[in-house]
Amino acid sequence: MIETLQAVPPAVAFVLAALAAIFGGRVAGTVAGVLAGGYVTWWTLSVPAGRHGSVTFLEFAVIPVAVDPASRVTGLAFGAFGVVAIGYLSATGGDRVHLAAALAYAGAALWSVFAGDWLGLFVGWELMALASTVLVWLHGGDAVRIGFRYALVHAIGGTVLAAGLALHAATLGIDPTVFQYGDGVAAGLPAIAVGLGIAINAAVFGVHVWLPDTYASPHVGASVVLSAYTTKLAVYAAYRAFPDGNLVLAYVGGAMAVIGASYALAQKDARRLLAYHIQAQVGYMLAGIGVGSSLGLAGAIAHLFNNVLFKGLLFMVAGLVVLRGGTGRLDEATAIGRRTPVLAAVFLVAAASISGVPGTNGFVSKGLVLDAVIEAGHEPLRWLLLAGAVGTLVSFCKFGYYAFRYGPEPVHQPTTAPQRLAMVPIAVACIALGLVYGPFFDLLPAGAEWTATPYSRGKLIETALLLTTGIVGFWLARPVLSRMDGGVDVDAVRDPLVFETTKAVVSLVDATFRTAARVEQEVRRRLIGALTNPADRVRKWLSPGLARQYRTRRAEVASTVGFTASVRLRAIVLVGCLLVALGLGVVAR
Amino acid sequence: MSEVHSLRPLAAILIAFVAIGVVVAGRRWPTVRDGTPIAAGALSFLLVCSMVPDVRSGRVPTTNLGTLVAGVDLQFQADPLGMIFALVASGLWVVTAIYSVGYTRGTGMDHRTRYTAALCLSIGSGIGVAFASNLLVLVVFYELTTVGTYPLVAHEGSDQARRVGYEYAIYVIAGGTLVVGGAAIVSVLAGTIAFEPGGIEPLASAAIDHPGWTAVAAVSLLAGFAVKGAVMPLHAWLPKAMVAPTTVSGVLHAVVVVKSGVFGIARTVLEVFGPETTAELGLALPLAVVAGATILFASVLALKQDDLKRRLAYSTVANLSYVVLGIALLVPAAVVGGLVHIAAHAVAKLALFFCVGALAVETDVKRVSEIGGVGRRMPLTMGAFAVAACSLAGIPLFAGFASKWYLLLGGADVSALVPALFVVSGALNVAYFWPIVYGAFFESSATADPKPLVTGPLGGGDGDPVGTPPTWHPIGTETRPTILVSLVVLVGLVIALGVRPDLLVVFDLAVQTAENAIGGSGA
Amino acid sequence: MSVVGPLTAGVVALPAIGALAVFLAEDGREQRYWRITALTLSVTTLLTIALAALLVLDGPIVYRPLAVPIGIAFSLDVLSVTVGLLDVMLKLGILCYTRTAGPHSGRFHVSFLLFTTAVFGVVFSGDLVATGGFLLVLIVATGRLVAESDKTGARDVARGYRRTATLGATAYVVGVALAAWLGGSTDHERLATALAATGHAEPAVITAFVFISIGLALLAALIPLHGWLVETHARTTDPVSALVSGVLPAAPVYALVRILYDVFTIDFLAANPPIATGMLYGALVSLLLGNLLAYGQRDIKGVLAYSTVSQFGLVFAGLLVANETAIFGSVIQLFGHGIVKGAFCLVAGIIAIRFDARTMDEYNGLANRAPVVAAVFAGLGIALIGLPPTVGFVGKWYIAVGAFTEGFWLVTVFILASTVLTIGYVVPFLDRLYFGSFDGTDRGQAVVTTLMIVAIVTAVVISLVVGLASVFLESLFRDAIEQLLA
Repeated sequence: MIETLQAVPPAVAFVLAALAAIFGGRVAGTVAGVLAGGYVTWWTLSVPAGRHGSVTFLEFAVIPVAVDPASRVTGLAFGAFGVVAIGYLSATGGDRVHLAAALAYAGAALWSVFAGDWLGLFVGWELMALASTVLVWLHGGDAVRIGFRYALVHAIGGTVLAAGLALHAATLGIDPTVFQYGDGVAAGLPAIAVGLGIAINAAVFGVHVWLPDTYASPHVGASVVLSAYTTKLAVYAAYRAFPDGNLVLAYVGGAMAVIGASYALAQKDARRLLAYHIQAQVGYMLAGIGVGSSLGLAGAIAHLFNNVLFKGLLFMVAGLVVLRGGTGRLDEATAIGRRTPVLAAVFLVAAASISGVPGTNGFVSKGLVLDAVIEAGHEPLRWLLLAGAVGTLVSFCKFGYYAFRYGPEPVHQPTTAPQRLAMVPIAVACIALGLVYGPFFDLLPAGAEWTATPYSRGKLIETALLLTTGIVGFWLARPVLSRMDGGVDVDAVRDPLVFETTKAVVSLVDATFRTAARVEQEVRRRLIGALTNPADRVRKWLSPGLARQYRTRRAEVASTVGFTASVRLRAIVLVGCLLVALGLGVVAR
Repeated sequence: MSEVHSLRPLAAILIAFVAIGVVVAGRRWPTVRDGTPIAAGALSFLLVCSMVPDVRSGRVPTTNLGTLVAGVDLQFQADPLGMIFALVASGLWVVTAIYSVGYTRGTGMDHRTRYTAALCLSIGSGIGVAFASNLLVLVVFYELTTVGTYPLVAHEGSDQARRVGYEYAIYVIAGGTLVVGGAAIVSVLAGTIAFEPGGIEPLASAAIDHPGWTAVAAVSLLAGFAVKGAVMPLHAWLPKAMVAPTTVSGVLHAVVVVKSGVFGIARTVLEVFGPETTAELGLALPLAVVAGATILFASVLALKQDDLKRRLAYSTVANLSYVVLGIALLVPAAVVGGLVHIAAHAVAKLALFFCVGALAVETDVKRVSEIGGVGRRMPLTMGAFAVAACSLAGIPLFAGFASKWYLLLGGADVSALVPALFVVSGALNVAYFWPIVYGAFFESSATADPKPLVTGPLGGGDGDPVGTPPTWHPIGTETRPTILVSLVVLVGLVIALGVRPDLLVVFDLAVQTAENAIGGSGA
Repeated sequence: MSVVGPLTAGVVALPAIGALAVFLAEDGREQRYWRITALTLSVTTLLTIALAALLVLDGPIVYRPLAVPIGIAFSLDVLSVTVGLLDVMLKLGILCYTRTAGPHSGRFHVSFLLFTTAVFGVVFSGDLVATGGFLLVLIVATGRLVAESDKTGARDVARGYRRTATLGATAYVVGVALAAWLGGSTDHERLATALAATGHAEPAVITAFVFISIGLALLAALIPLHGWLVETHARTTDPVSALVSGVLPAAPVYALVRILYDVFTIDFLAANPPIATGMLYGALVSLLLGNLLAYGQRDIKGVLAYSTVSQFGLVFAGLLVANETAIFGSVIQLFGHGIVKGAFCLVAGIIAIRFDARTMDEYNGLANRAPVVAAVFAGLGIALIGLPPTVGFVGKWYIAVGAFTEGFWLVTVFILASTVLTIGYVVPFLDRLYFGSFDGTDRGQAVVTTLMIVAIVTAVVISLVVGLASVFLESLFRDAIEQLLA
């Protein structure tokens, strides 16, 4: 029984739940979703490592279930978070279509995580893009156009990934097992293409604009769901693509940590701020994977897991802030601090763990990544990550300050039970994982090859310094921060550029084709006209008198054009022909 | 490949011509007139299916009716390549016939007898094209297809429709004439024009003795077929032919006409000249380039169209060139992809046209800019539209993915430019299909966004989306049952083809064809 | 052998006798004329078929009733019988039409029958002088037929035709005289040997040939000598135009072929390439120009006339390519075109007597009122365009292939081009017929008899059957064609 269940990909559970939501309605969908999440959590923890089953899709062997530490932890995060995310979505009033889309989206993500080869992963990758697009669209209004941009970006990303995989297959030679994970993607063009495809989903700086755009616009519950999967799956894929690390990747990660954090500083919109933090946190993970050591990988995966927890939690908080203030803008929202202690407390926990305060899971996993970086001796990378950490802290001081202390007092509006039910467990988990990390470490990849002491003295001091700089920095920088609003991002250039280019190209091509068609028709008309009605031409050449005779002659002889003429003329023609022919024959030699 | 004598290929074709007789005879009784095509389609589909086992096991059912002209047999054969097209044509005939009933009654169309008979003639001769065993027989039915579709294109009888019909006839028959010329040259050079997987051997030697004339023959054959295949710059008739009734557009785009064009190109490249000779003559590269350019230009032009049918038309032009491209790349994977795309595109595009037709029957929405909120009025219809659009956008688990994936694999094998092309065209696909989908479901006519990327800032977004979308229409009552049934069938096909491409024989047949022609399959 | 002689004599003489009978039965009972004519022609048809069968079995023969230097000599083979057969079959069809639609007069029937005699004479005769004589009869008969029209100016046109044709005949006679003076005989075989002795490159020989061929080309209405055909066509009654289009040019063309291959032989062409190519390109010009001018017409009769001109250009070109495939193609085309074009004229006539529609725009929406006639029109149109599998396509295919084998790729190109042009002028009529809206007078179905319908439908069927049975026909013609080229 258990074995058979374990051979069934967990995604199925979510898909079934999605169906339940569509046909059963909101309540049924919620229950089914929560149950599915629970089942997947149990499944992930209990399923033995290794590959289960193999189906042939398009002559290629696709492995539906392949469990190793990396996929297990990622899957655990996706499954476990699914429970609360779905709960939160329905607790904040997501209807059944929202639930269905969310569940389908989570299902696709889970499928990709546990798929044992690139083709399988790609299938989930594309379906995830589709489902998330729908999830964004469902909110209507501006979200629709933003969702369209999101779809465009991910269409390009997906195709680039597919192209990379095709090139990969072309280099290795096409055979049924070509797409299974070996030691990474073939170097050169394939690696570049696959890397780019992943980078788009991982919101690497430059191709990241979809992230803040999208996550700030849909239903608040949808943002929570979205925040967990797409980017994390990209991190996981990056590990599959570069299992032995990649220095470019590592430094890209470092850059993202800084840039993400600093853009976050400039944000006034709660969810945009958090979205930029996703970029920053993904930076940490990519750095860990890029380093390539087993410690780095473990750190990255651990941080992935923790990040799902506290980032999801932060989005939940932000969601409630939005619901209360009626707007995502922190400076316009009302202060909600004292009246909702639960909300405030939860926020503090989440903020603490994302800023890596000792005693939270963020501290532990971020520590692992930093250790890995030091161990590999990439000093500059380390400093980048630390700078990112400071930025993170500052921006959360800002978030907390504006959300809870700034602005007029609101009416009393405590969190509802379901909302608490969704948020509190995560907060608890954040603390717990920060204090009791042993069991969690056992799940992480290559557990035998690394050891870590998160609460070493050096690290505590370092953290303390960071924290103080951060807080002081915030008090100093507050006037500046209050003036900054969003900042200028790539889309300021990208959107007009794309738009003007397509517009120009389209009108150019269109004009070209139109002109060509017109010319062709005109030529055809004139040619046929001249050839089929020589009469008018003839009349033009003739002298007026002749022309008149010619016309009358034509009038007598109905329906004949041009060439009929009086018998005399015919005799002349005949003789002419004779002479020509004679010439032809006699003079020929 | 061993030939086995069988009357089934002939029968599958004749059914259509019998059906015409019945339709004309039974014009007084609407039931007979409208029912006959459905029955006939089903019958001929079953006949075609009954030949699948033989074909899969390497036997080729063949009907030989003696000699047509000196040295050319009037012979029909159901070889893998032909079967692909025959399955598509006969299978979709049934769906079309069912839909057509709902459409003609819904729009109260006149001259229905002529219309129905012509429909049967077009599709029946399409099956003839599929089973033709040599160029001349192929031409015979190729021209018959034209004879059948001309009255359909001009059916409306308006001045524009008649002008377009005239142009259509000229274009397509001129193409057919080019094919005849090419066939004449081939028959003189090679002494035979019967298809042989991998190419006619005498022609290979002829290509060495008279490279010039062989090239001329090849070009005139390819150009001739390219007219119906709507390869640019010979595509102009297709968007214009959109004046025809929607069912007809479906038949033109999905079932027989344009497909017979690309099918002809496949025959020419794979089984008349053969991959080697085609490569020797240096025709593969130009063909691939032209196809690639067509894909890009057509997709770009599709962005600009506001008329639904015209947008679909340009998407067809692009998709046909995927097939041509796959064949021109001359590597097994690409050929498989191209041939599978014949079927994949057929089902998806037919579904799209049927949706547009249903819109025309129930609402008077004809333009993308009027689409806002229609999804709530006709949820199932627009849902089907969305599914089909996904398929054409090449999203996994939809029909279009299998073919595009193989095209991509083959392309990557040949040059990195092909994947690049796919990235661009993939983005364009989304850019011209998604607005219809989200417009229908998530916007209202007030905020419709027909041409993002071309009008307004990227993805629209400036128009403040106010205006309440209409309320949901009760599911299932949105339009006539016949229309819904045919849509459901098509959606089922799209998904089935996507999830298990090998369940529907088309994929295996394509692999078989590629093996016979080039040797070595996709994987 | 023994039977062939009487049969031939019968075929040639019988129509003449019939004509005499009609002439004697001058009591104004027009139905009787019709019956006599119908009877005569039916019998002639049967005889012709019997003759054809014999010739297929025994192969071509030369038959001389009297053995004198300048005397009657018949050289028959399947090809000549085919042309004859075309004539009588077409005439039967025409009779189906004239029974009610007229003309009914005795004059008409007399010339109608004489026409047949003349045609048979021209195609059978194995002697230049005899051919010339029969040609003259043909011209006279045609002249009288053309004059049998109630249209204004028909008589002028007839006179014009007679004059023009006489010019052609004169040229022919001059050529024959010259040849006779050179070869001392007018009998094909003897003359052939004599000319071969004289040497084919002799200017005199060439001159003779040129005169003969130009003369016949005029009677075959090759451009630029086609004016009379168009004019006659426009002015005369429809049944007569059917003859003028279908058979009238066929006889001289066939005569020319015989003279070319029997008397001057293929060596002559070999000896004078300029002549061969010159004539070939002349034919091509005729083919293309005829189609272009037809494209410019609005009146159905004009279209048909010019298309005839171009079709005979095609036939002529095929014959000059001088290989078996192409010549067979030409013969098929000659026969097929005769039937199709004749039927086309009758259809035009039927439409004219019921709707009096002549020009393209008067054809609007007739399909709804006369579906059968419209369908036949469409079928004939398809055959005229030469879409497979009609006879039109088969003929073109053989000629194109044959020409390309001989290296005359230009012929192939021209044939293809002309096909496209043909669509250009056929489709507009179909478009009007089916998609136009009717606004004209309709005299009702009564004026169109079943007999007419039968006649035109049969024509369509024949055009299909011949198209599909081409291989069988080729097996019948093979010997004859080989002998021709020997």
